[in-house]
Amino acid sequence: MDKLAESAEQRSPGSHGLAGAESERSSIEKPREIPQDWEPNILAFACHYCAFAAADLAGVMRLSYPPNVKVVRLPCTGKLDYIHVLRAFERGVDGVFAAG
Amino acid sequence: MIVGKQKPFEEIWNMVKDFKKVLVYGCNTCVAICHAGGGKEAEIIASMIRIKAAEEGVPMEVKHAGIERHCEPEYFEPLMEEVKTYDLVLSTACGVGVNFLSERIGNIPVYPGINTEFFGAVPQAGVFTELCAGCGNCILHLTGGICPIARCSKSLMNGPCGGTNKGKCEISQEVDCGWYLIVERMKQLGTVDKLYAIQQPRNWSTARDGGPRRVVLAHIQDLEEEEAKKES
Repeated sequence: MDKLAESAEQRSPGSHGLAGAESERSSIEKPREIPQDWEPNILAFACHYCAFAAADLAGVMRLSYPPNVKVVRLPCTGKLDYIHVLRAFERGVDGVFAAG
Repeated sequence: MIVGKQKPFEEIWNMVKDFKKVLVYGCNTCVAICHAGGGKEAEIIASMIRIKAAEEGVPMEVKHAGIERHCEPEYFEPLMEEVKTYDLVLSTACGVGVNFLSERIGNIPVYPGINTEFFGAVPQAGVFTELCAGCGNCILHLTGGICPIARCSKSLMNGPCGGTNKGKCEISQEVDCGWYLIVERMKQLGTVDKLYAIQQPRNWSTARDGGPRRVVLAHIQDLEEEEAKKES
């Protein structure tokens, strides 16, 4: 166990080290039970020149991907900003995938 | 420029959670450069507050805005009417901006979103250093352009203390000894002999010790008064 985990363990005895450290930081989101049939809603930010082209090629090849993934094309993933990710979370997206 | 650091989110949340309509108000000059409180950071903080409010089930309207400077009235005057429609303004400007807006906004509280640290330089991206303490009586011509008040941990005026160690200060290995820097720089400039002059005890009344400071330019004030007379 590393030092961070050890100190977290001392602060919150009985809990897992890392989880203890997490609660110390008090993240914005509260941890919740995940229902068994739950499917995350994923937003993918894809670079026009590589990942989006790959997704396009997958379409041409008639490959399918799960409908809970939505793709947003960016001119470059360098265009991706904190606020784009935060806005996605605000609108109920569960996970953001940046590909580029 | 003024260097600031964003407050921990928990502290921000505790400040804003009891208000219904909050404006996160960024300042796009100094604190935008140090990525603490510009319009962009204000937008991010506003988003984080909205997410937290939704998580906690607290009904809250949170918007953001940014203006060039919070320390001069003409910049925020055009937005003032709109700003006055909020219950709380969380200003991410430096302390000057928070004070200045608070004096002018009427009955709406203005809370600070960042901690104002010092005025400093940017030696490299993401690093900010304190080089001047704004003491009101500059002696940089006597110390090779390196300020003993800001750079020496004890603000000594006549050379280093016994805590200097291989160019570092006794308070931390991360901190350069200001006087070591001064001597090395003056050697380079060929002006070390200036250091033989003893500096008399300093009059600190020009610094913070003299109370809140004020600079008044009489000729500008006169011009303003003349303009006001012409208009009336």
